[in-house]
Amino acid sequence: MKERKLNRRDFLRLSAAAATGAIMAACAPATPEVVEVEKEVPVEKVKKETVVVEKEVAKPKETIELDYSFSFAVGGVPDMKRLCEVYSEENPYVDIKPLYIAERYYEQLEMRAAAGDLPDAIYCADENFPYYVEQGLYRNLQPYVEQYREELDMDDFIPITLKMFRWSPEIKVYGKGDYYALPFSGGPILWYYNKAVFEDAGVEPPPDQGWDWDMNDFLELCKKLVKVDEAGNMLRGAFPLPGWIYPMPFIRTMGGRYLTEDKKKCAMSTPESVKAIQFFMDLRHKYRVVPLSTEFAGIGSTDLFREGKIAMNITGPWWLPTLRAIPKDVLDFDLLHFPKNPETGERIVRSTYDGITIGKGSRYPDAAWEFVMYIVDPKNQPIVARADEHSLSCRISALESSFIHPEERPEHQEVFIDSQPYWGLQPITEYWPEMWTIIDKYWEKMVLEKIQMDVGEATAKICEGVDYLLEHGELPAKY
Amino acid sequence: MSTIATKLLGQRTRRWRETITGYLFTSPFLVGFLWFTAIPMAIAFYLAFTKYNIIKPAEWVGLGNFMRLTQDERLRIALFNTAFYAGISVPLYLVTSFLASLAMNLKIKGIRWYRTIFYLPSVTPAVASAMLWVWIFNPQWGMANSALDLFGIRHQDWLLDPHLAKPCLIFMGLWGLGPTMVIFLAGLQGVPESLYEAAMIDGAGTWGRFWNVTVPIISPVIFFNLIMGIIGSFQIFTTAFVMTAAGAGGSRSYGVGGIQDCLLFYVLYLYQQGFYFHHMGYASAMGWLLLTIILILTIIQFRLQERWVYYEAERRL
Repeated sequence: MKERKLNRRDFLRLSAAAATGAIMAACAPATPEVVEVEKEVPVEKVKKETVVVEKEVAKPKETIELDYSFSFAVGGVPDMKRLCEVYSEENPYVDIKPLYIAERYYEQLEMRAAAGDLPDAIYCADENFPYYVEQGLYRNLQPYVEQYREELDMDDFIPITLKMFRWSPEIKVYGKGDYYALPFSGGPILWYYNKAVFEDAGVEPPPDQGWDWDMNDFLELCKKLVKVDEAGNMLRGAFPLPGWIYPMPFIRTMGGRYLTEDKKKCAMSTPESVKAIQFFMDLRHKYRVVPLSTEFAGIGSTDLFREGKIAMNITGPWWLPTLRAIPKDVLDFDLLHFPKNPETGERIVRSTYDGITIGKGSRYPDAAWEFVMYIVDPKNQPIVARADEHSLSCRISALESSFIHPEERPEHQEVFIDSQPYWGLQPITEYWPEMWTIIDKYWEKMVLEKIQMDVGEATAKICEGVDYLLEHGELPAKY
Repeated sequence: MSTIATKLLGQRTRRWRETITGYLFTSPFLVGFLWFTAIPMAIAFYLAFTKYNIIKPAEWVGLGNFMRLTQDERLRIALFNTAFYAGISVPLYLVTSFLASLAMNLKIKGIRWYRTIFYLPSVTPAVASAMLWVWIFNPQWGMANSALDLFGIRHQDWLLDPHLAKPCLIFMGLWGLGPTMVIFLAGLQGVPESLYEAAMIDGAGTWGRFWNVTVPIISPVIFFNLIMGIIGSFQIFTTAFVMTAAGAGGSRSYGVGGIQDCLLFYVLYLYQQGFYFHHMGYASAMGWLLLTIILILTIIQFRLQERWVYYEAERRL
């Protein structure tokens, strides 16, 4: 055979062709930033005997793969992954592929939806749940719930948590209508307090962890906790001023509302709501028990709490892993109930849960439903809730076993469970981010010392914007 | 076949081969340009006339998004903030980096170290430097207020003051003047010594040499930096995004733009519309408006440059 020498031109031509080929190969469809969870991490707490899938199901001939996407603090990932693994072992015909998406979870879901590649089982939050139902990401689970009502033991769910994943596309109201997901873990927001700060201020926590205290008691306590220097600068505040949704317990407890009962109109400008919001704003501007925007600016609430710059903080059980990671000799803390309205004796706090649903377009909805049932099963709930940032279970029967760990702080963990009677639904609509933007703008005006918009005026502006949004489905041009 | 015809055919084949080879060599750029720039731009142009949220198919709305642009109050705020930022930061950065490059052009001992030190902040990741400046401008413990203490001036709220936030961000930008300075420095080092010598013979002093020799010779470099500065300042995003992720009102998961939108820049607002509110069609329309604004400003600069930019080569022609 005649040998052919490769001249420089041919060599360069071949190189260029190879480079082009390589680039074309690199232009394969972009995969989302999805981290597939490793399978080797052993988790002792997960035991095979905890797995319960006793139902008779039609077994497919071949093993099917189910994608399960979820996103929460990385600490809980191994537990969740192990749970999926155990399920796959118990159900040889199903192989669960856990997809842990650490950041920008919903953007990734949207991309996958656009590509027609939604996961079969999807972790979801309550706040944007109506939006994604309306966009057709989540499957209507109502037929499954109806069919498996008995097996699911619906009475064992904390009633309000079920409402968090109901949506009525016809009347577009949250908390009613069909189930588009089932809750699995979450909790209410309540008071954490730094024991050393209370000691330093010479105050005692209210009896029974505040089961019977009211706003007047609360205000007096806050005043005692505040420490200022000679120039009037705050050295320690009672609690940091949270954004607009965290004061929900104050507003609801003091008789105010964000939305009307039918969730079709803004209710923040009603006299009751204005009074309630004014009470909250007074904590800063009149009583000076919370820091100004410039005081302790740029420091996270965990650091402020640990360093004793704030005595209390209102948040949910998902703060526990962070605080538990701090040694007890550095930080010891406990929990308090939210105070009651001194006139009505009522109180309402914000509660929020994560849920699980089936992706619309899943090729194996029945198998995905089996997995959903497995995740919300009371016997698996201790693992699920713990994995989801030490949150509370959605199951009444699993609440204590999943949440109470006597060997861990705080001492009165039961406060979270006991607060159940006064948990409240968030003012969720289909337009959560837009509503947030409108309220936040005027909330800032009420909060900031230098702007200090009157509460009545600010809430009127808020309602103008929110009403327009709820009616037209888009932000007003001027807000 | 005649010899001439064979030669012509051979030439044509060779030219064809060369053309193919040329395209093969430029194909990495062409593929990248088409795939990552031209096609997305064309799609964004189409989307600008639609209502689109990624999940559902785009719905044609004609000029609806552009009509909305004319009524959007926050867009006006974003445009004002961006124009304010560009109007002050671009000249300031040009002058400062030019002065720095003059200093770095001095023939003194250890000049290479100085150059490295001046350039160093530019290699710091934008997010890290933004966080650093957040701390410097902290109203309670920040270095900025400590510096004011030295002069007996009362403390300021800096980024938490709607009137001071933009000037703070402009000042922050000086931190990253390294790349512009290096371009100026390269221009300065390209000025022929012979021109300075001739100017000296003509009796020009230091200022005369600077104004009549240095500035005209490096005017193309100034022009380049001006154009790049305008484009860059209209696209400000990262620092403002990092610094305004949490507002004074508390958690602002869906909010960007600082206290009362004082740091709501154009691209930041575009991002919010696209990725928080899922208004991809509107965000695309905003993108095209931004392109138009930058294009107009660039065309104006190109027209104006005829009056002040000196091109040696053109003069020789």
